[in-house]
Amino acid sequence: MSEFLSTDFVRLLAATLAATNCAILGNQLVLRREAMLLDALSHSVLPGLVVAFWAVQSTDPIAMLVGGVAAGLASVLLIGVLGQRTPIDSGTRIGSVFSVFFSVGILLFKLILPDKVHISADCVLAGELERLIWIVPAEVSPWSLEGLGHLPGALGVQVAALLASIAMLAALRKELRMMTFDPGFAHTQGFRPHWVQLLLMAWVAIAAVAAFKALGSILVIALFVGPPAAARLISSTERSMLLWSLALALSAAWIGPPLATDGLPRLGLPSVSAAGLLAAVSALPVLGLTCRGPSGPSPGAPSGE
Amino acid sequence: MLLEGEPTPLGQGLGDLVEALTLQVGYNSTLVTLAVAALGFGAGFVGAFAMLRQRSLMVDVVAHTTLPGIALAAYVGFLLGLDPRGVPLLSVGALLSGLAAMGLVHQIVKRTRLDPDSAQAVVLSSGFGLGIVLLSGIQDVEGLESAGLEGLLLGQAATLRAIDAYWLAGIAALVLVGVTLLRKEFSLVSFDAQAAGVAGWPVARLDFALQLLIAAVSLAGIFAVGAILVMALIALPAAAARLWTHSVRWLPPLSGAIGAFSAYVGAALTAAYDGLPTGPMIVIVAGAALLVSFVFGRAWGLAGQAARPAPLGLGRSLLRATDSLDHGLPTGSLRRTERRIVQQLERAGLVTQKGSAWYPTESGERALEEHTALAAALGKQP
Repeated sequence: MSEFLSTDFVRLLAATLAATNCAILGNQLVLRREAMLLDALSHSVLPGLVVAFWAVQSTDPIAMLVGGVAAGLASVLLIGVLGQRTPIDSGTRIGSVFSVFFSVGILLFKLILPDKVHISADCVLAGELERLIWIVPAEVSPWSLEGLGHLPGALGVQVAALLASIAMLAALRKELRMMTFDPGFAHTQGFRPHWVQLLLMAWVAIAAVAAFKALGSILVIALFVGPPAAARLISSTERSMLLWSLALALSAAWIGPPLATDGLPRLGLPSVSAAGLLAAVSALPVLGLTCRGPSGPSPGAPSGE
Repeated sequence: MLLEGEPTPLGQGLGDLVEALTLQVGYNSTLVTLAVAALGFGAGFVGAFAMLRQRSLMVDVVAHTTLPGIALAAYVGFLLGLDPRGVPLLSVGALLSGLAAMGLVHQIVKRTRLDPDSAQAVVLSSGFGLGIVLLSGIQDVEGLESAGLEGLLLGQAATLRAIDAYWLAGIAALVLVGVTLLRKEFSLVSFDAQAAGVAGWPVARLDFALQLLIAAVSLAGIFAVGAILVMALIALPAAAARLWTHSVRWLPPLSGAIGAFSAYVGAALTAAYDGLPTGPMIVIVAGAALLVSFVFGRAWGLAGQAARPAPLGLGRSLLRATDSLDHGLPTGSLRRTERRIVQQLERAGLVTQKGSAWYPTESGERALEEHTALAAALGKQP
């Protein structure tokens, strides 16, 4: 099998899956003006991942998902409880809770993870898109069932997470739309905003855990917010925003990592972190549109279908 | 839980910790511990105003986006033959790129219809990505390998030298002086920016000054607790202090004291036990302080909440709501505190439940006119 298949192709696949999943969920968060909750969620999954790893002594995807989602939801609930019981503003609550969760995660990471596991702190912080490789024995065709079985396990989790997101967004389309655009009305109609919100957060946590191996816990925020935020600026219906954000996310995924590992070295520059460049590239559309200045409907104008 | 056979850093007993807490672990560690504590005080002090003005998240943006500046400063310093790990050099780079990020968020919010949250998240994560890109790009340069990611992101107080400690303490002192001088103005802008503007105060410039002070303290914090956890130095002490006091006079010093305590204990723990990361230890101590405050805090703690009389204004609004709506006040629409107050009103015989809604009784309707009856029902001195 070619070198392209075993390295670049796998990287591209992982970046594509992460970008797609993050973009479709990110749309909801950008519309609900809750982008900074992502900052909390993506940092907070760490202690859950470490404890799950310690409990089963392997990077079993199910255990990782359960641990990560539990920790992520715990942080969101804690932010909510502090908000109900105290006068602390949301930014301070978010910052307080995620930094404690992340610190506990790093401490557990240092204390309980044996050195023989090759997870370094750098992976937590910046992801290891480069380490995803697909090695198939020479006698097996890469496209046979057995060959596909050698794909990195992280990719399988990402596919499952993407399918789960699509299913959830399709099933709760009406509820999400109503609660995003008119939460008061949704409440009077007997919808349960808290539960739908919690469900959305759970799915965001799943997406963050699925992309963790490739992107770490911070760069993933760029994929969640960058493409949807740019799409928000150039579209006035929910549907066009979704399509635009997908298009922008896919272009970032197909430009960033190849440029980092192949493009720059060909220009005589050192190769750089693929995940880092992916995150940086995904914000370019927003910056470009900011330079263009205000346009489209004013902030107060009704949006959505 | 450590693997067997490894030396257990936590098993050395409390002696080392006591030594570290009483500053007997050598000149350098002592100096660093004190400098970090000073920084904790400065961060907590300015953090109180960051919280009141709802600017805390900007700290996270500035902290994450200092990374490209730090990488570039290390590279430029290396080319110029300076020490690429010197704190003053890296601080300059960090300050420049942090300020650029702040300006970028400001421009995005001003020029587009994106909300501040989205703008902050975009700038934070992509700036961090750019930083990772630059750091990974320069790590192959000979002489720069040691500019490791982990120290920058998770704190490296243990490796700080005496000169760095003076630098950090100096920044903390500077910020403290700045905030103290502008304390009255910051309080005014935090509580009523519109009134401040109408009264002729330069609100935008004061906001900028506050953000500048926040940026200064956060970039000093990067060298103590790391870029990711600087947020904690600003947010946690302020949040904890808020649960103890209602007074804007006491909030900043209290928050500063909690910050100094957390930084001091956290740094001492790191000095006493090998292998513990500084930043996370400080944050965990501060988190414990918030937890204690959440339970016992005099102003907002859970322990005192049941005993405190309900706010009179909310009681009156709820009573009026039962009267003014045609079909009563639906029981399902109330939040926890509101339900508690309505139940208090019921015990005083001012409201009654019919079906799934609350209605006022006759004495309830009278109480709407008389201030004293409602105050008596809620256990307040009229």
